Amino acid sequence: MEMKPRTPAPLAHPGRRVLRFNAALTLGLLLLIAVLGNVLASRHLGQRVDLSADQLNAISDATRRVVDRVEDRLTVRLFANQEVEDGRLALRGARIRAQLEEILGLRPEIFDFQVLDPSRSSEARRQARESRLQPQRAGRGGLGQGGEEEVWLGLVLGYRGRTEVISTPEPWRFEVQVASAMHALLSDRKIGIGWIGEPFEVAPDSENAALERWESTFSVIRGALSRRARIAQLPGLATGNPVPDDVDVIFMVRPGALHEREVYAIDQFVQRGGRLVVCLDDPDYNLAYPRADVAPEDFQGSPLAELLGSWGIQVAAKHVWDDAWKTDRITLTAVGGQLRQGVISDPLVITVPPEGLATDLPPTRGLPGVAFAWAHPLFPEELAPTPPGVQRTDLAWSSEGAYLTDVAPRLTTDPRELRSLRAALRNGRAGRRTLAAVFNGLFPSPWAGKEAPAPLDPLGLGRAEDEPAPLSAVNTSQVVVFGDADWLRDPRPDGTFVQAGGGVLAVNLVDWLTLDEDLIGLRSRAPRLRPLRDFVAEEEEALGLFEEDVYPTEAERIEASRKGDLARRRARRQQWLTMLAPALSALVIVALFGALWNGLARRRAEPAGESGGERS
Amino acid sequence: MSARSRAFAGVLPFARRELRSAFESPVAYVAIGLFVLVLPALFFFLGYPVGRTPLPGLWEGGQASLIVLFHWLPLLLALVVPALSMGAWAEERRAGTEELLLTYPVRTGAVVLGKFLATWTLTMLMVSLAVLSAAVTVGFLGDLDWNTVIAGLIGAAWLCAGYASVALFLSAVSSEQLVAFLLGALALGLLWALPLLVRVLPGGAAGALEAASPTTHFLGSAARGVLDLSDLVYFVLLTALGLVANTLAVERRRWR
Repeated sequence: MEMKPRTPAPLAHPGRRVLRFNAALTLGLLLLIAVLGNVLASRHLGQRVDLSADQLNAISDATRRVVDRVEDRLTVRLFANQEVEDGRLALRGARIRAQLEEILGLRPEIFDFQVLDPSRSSEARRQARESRLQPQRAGRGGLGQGGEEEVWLGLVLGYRGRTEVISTPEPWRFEVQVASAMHALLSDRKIGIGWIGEPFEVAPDSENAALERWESTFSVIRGALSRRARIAQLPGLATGNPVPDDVDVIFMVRPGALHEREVYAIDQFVQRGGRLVVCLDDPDYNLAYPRADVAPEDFQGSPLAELLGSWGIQVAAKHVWDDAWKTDRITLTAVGGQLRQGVISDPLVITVPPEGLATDLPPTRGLPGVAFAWAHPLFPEELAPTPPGVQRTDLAWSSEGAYLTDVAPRLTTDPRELRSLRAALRNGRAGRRTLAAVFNGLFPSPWAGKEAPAPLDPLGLGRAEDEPAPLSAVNTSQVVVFGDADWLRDPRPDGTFVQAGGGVLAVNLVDWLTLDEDLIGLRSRAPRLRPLRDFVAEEEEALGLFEEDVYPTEAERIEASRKGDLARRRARRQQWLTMLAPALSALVIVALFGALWNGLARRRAEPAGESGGERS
Repeated sequence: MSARSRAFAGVLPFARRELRSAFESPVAYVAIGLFVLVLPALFFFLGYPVGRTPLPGLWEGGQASLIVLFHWLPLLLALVVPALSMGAWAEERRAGTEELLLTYPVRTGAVVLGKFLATWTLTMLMVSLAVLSAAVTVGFLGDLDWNTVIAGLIGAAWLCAGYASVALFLSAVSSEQLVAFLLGALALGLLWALPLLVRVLPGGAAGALEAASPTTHFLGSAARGVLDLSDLVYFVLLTALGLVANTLAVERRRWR
């Protein structure tokens, strides 16, 4: 039998079909890996670094502190549809859930997390309704589908038998919502705030109805405070009632003529460790709202002034004039029986920027600014030394170029008057003026070793025999003094006090004084305002266009118009220069690089060409 | 020479070759010049009028932030990256140098990676110049958060990598430069537009589309100053997918 040698099979070139199949298979597998990898990464890779200065995209230390304070199990029930047809609402739900899981992940052992779908379970629907959650009606998403669907999204937190409901969770502030709700659950009771001085609401005055509508109430700040605390006026202090024990902080807002016994009650409240916020704005000196008829007595020399003076707190009668931090506001002037509207940059209305606020104190840290109007400066510590055991820290101050001006008999809206006033002031000494300060420590009582002042006794009942002796320097306390009360006022249509700074500062103060610094940390997580330079204003300032004149002569009007045009032209030129200079510089760099690159390439090529030529 | 070094041998020479040819032609300079002028101009004057909440321009908004400029990046890059990469393979084919390229004793992957690195470098150079020139302007005008700018540039680098790999793949499968550009712009434009479809699509599909869009991954975090690991994974996977597809497309021709 003849054996034939075995020839090896020829190496086969892979067929085009096989190649295509392999390529498609590889691509398909890779696509699958990419999708799965992406899904897994989005679900399980939560690591991220927030490089931004505002730190708005990372869980704040304040939230961590609140979560750390939880001692028992905290139940979190998320009421949400498992499937939502509306894409936008579905994404909102997904974002809320992702943020919630991130927060719960801080201490997963303390949370009982439940997800309930009221659209599928009647029991979940009943629970949601009991918690006063309402579904949102949305058009059914998807192409060609009609009708509406009920979309549920709400959160109920339970802790030690108490519940807090977040009925409308918002992705952009969800962390603050959850942390605030947890904080409320952890608090034993609501904070008590006592209010002395300016009433909550000012009754309209028939003679001055137009002005009254402009004038302040404190309803906005009262609303903000009442969300955090019980707030009530304190009646009966003059007749001998003490400040109730459930009051933690007293706000004295533009206090008028207080009876000595009222002042004594406030002093004893501070001696017991109560916190006091005093917003001194003598009504006689408040040009924004002349109330001389309401409070005829000067603050200076009053029992309250004496009490504060004994603690090293003295407020000057003059106003702070600050050209650097002045505020634009609308003025209404009666001209020929008609109200004329103008705008002035008022140096008596000061918007204190962050550099005028104490950044090392929690209430003012992170605030974009606070507007003060016709503020009185606090005496410097050299002139009004604090008693032993009391420390003073400035909270807000003017710019270095602020002057002190006497009280004018009326509100100055005439720019020429403002100009001449400023010229006169420049003969005086410019300097930084303290607008608010915190006093901390053991406050001595002026009534120490004496008898308490007699209360008002309109009914002739006589004085109580078992009245305790006045306390003095017993408990540490804090007193915060402002030389202005306008920073607390409601926003006005003239453009002043529209900044949120005042409201946030007041709430921050309450939280700080009642040791709730966690909440201050939460609130300060607002994006910082980063305004651009105002070239027009700078140029107008440079050309002496201080403010719009509401009484211009024809020549003045023409001159102001000419200067205004010039300022705008200069500002536009500055804008273009600012925009074009960096871009043109970048282009010049690229052009130089290109020229250099191609020049070198040509130089390299030339010798090679020459040598090539020789060889040929 | 280790196995890994051998596998990547030729990457840098190819990248250098691509960059050299780019810098020797006026196309790159014109593209960079236009980008450096157009992107800041849109940011300064137009704002970002796309989507549910249009964003104002710099002067109108009055805030020292580059967020509007970063919003424009995914859309502009969807047009510019295909323009820069359209010739990467299509031009080789037209000039007849592709055959020569594929006969080099290097892996196809190395050639692909070299071309990718060159395109990525060029794109990043362009983006960095445009972003930094606008940042210098804004920094002069106000208190700009430079950390956000740095994070945005890092995110832009990820975005450019993903875009470049996809555009190069489409250049590899196209016979003409113009076709490569149109295909690239269409594909990247579709990826950019995915979040706009969220409102008209049902919940599940909306979530999937949003997760698949590079716009979301860039604007949701890096443009705001946040570097997220899951975004990095997304862009790495997208880039890898584009590069592997590109390699396979070139390999297929090598076997023809």
